[in-house]
Amino acid sequence: MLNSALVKDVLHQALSTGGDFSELFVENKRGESLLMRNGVLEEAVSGITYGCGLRIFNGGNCVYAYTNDTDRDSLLRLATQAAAAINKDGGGQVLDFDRKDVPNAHPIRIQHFDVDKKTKIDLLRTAHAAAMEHDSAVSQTTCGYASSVQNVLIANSEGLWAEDTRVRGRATIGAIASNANEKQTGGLNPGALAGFEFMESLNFADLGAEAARIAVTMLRADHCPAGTFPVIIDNGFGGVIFHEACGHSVEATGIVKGASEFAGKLGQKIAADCVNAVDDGTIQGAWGSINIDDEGMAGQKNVLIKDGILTSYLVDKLNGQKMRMAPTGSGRRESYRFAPTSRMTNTFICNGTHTTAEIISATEYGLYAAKMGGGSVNPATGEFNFAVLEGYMVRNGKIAEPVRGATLIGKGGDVLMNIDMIGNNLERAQGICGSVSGGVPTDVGQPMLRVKQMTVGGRS
Amino acid sequence: MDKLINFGSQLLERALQRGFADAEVAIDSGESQSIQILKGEIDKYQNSQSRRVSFRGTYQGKMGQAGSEWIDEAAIDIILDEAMGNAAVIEEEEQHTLFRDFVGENYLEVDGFRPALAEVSTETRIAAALQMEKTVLGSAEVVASDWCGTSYGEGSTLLMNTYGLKLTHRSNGAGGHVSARAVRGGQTKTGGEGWNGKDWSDFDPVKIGEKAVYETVSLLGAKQVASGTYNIVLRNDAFASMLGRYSSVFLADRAQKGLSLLAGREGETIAAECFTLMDSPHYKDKEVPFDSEGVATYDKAIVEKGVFKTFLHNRKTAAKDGVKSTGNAGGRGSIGVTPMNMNVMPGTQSLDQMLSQMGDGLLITDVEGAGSNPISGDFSLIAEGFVVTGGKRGQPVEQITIAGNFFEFLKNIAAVGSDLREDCLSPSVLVKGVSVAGS
Repeated sequence: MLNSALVKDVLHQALSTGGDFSELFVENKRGESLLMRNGVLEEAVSGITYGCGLRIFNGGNCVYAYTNDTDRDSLLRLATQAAAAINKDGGGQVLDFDRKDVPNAHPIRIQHFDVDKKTKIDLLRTAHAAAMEHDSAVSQTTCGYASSVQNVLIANSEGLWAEDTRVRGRATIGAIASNANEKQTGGLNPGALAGFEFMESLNFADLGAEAARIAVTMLRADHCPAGTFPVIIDNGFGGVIFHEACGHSVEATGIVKGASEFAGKLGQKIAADCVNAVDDGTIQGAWGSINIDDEGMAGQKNVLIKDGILTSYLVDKLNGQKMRMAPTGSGRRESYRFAPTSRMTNTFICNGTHTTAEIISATEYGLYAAKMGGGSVNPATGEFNFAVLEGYMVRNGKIAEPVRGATLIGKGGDVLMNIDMIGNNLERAQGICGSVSGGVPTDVGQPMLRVKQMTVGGRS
Repeated sequence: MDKLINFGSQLLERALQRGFADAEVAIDSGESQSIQILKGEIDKYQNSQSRRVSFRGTYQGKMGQAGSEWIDEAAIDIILDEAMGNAAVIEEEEQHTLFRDFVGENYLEVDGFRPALAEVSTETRIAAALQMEKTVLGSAEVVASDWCGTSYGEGSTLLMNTYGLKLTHRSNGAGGHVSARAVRGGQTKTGGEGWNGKDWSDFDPVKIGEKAVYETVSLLGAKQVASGTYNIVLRNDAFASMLGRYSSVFLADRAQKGLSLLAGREGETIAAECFTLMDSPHYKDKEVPFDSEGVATYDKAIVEKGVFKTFLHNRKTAAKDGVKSTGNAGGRGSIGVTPMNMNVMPGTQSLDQMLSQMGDGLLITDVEGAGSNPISGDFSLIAEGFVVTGGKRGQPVEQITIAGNFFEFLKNIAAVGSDLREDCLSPSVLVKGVSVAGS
């Protein structure tokens, strides 16, 4: 992407004012997206993201600069300007590059860009038709297809030279059900670090019908009651609870500042004994997987919680230096516009011992959150909130009437300790996680689990 | 910039050669600097230069588009190939068109670029950030400031098409933000405050720091309140956050796609009489002279004294409804509709007067969360604030949700405050009968 002599000169110039470490991230990404509304292809978008980000460490501090003008002169100017923010003696060394070819653990069979747009549009039309056929209350659909190929080069003053190509694709299938006064939505958004073969593996008719089923169920649902009671959260995107309530709080970004409820708690009990959780960037073809992270390190599997005990944080290079901990293959960023920091990959709670039937039948009264929506968390306090996309009341050990508009709120630490049953139906689901280094693809996941009590926001 | 204009001209010329009936190029470029402070040191210093070319053009009767940050002669044919490929698959009957009747458009003449702001030195920006952090850490109950920094940015836009339209606008702005983390008796609270503007002398780092401390420390000791129905005062910034979640209900493209419950309801009363909502692209220091299609912008009421006056339109949605564009085209490539500066007209009562009018209820100072659905209007948001008893602010409140429906909420506004906050263009409101979930 850039020749090694130029890269070396830029890294060297970046250290000219006494910086300890310099790193260049070069990116060329092609993206394509298609959006169909109500069976009509309305938007076809493509774009090229192109630029490079230069990072310099000065002790525990960081200088970051980026540009999309990659001429030699402008890159050297960028390095000079960035270095000017540091004012120490001496210039650091840039070691000779040691080109490491990390074997690609996520082979691509069919490039998205090699497939005709019409073929992709046909898939979306299949989902649309299935959603409309599912129920006469379905009034609208929104079906999207997005894919990208991101080529990156990461080189640093320690001699690292790593290149990678990340191919991702995602379908977004949504349905809206309406009556005279109201509209409710349902949707599914499967994605993978894979080529078109992933899209071929999906059943678009099933996706459309399932999106429609959720929307129609919620249209006919009553408001969720407000209060504090047991909550059963089902598998797949239900794992967003763990992502928000715990995952963000083990990122080094917050830990190093003490701005996390789990700071200083390695080796301590932070969850109920039945809780085991991992962050695994190595799952072949998974949406949140990485061949190498955005600091050039191979992705790895990190056990975060073992039998309720906190066993690992997610650590990037800079925060690792401050914490005296080895990086965990967690340095990620949305694009060259962001300095990387510790982020999740595929993060989930592992299978437990109960069947889903056991969990439901053991619950006298509560909320069953079959599908979760989005949420957010304040890592410093652990306070989180999630929207429930598809919910049902549980009465006398049975799933009862559907309810809508529920929100789950609480504090991460409390919820982890209050998990009292974990099922055996682990499933992952895909999302874009937003944080300081931008939006990155991540998988959330869990089996069905029960939280003894949670505050449920609804209408009293 | 010359290099970019030259690239844009080449792209237009080549597009016509390759069979586009017309073509448009938008070039956005900018520079920014941000400084983050941690424990009296510069924790992160960042500067950036960016530029992007966005192309649209009519090919065989369809609008095709593509964008690129790679500005190189070799990119021209790739961009055009992509745009042609995209045009070929569009199925929608109504097409976007490029703006050709621009003669006589009344563009606001304004230079959004303040040279004095650009000349504020890096040292001054660093000193201001250090001062904010020092102020925050000076409070006994504050244990840390996890985020503290100042930023500066400038940007310019060039929009030109093969009909001879050529518009430019540039602007700059600065900001300063600080957060605080306070701990008392095992409870942690975070809060923050910020400033954005174009006149550096308006920025008082000590005042911002003090406000951040107050916002945080005043919430220590917060508890849940019992679930029930409450009257609430939603503070200006929290109300702006709520409105922002539902701004799409006022957009014509959403309405035409059946995604707004306001469709076909122009002229109806949809909110309390005390509520007037504007879109003001000419709002002082936030001016936007033309929209993404090159149409001149102007200020207008969206909701006037409770009556829904107009959707916001771009040229395509306006043509469909048989009206004129309101100058609200937004985005690049896929042109949508966007509010420029949505602002709520302030009322006459101060925040304290509204609390007195309410008597007993809750003052909500923050709402967070993903529990808002602009299609159904339903919301269920996590909130914090204070119990209000006899018009006086008391016990802080946390871990509650407020829930309801946005459209009912607008009708239940009992009073609008005079306390317009400049960075969010919203005053506080008193709302009756809101469902609260707590203990």
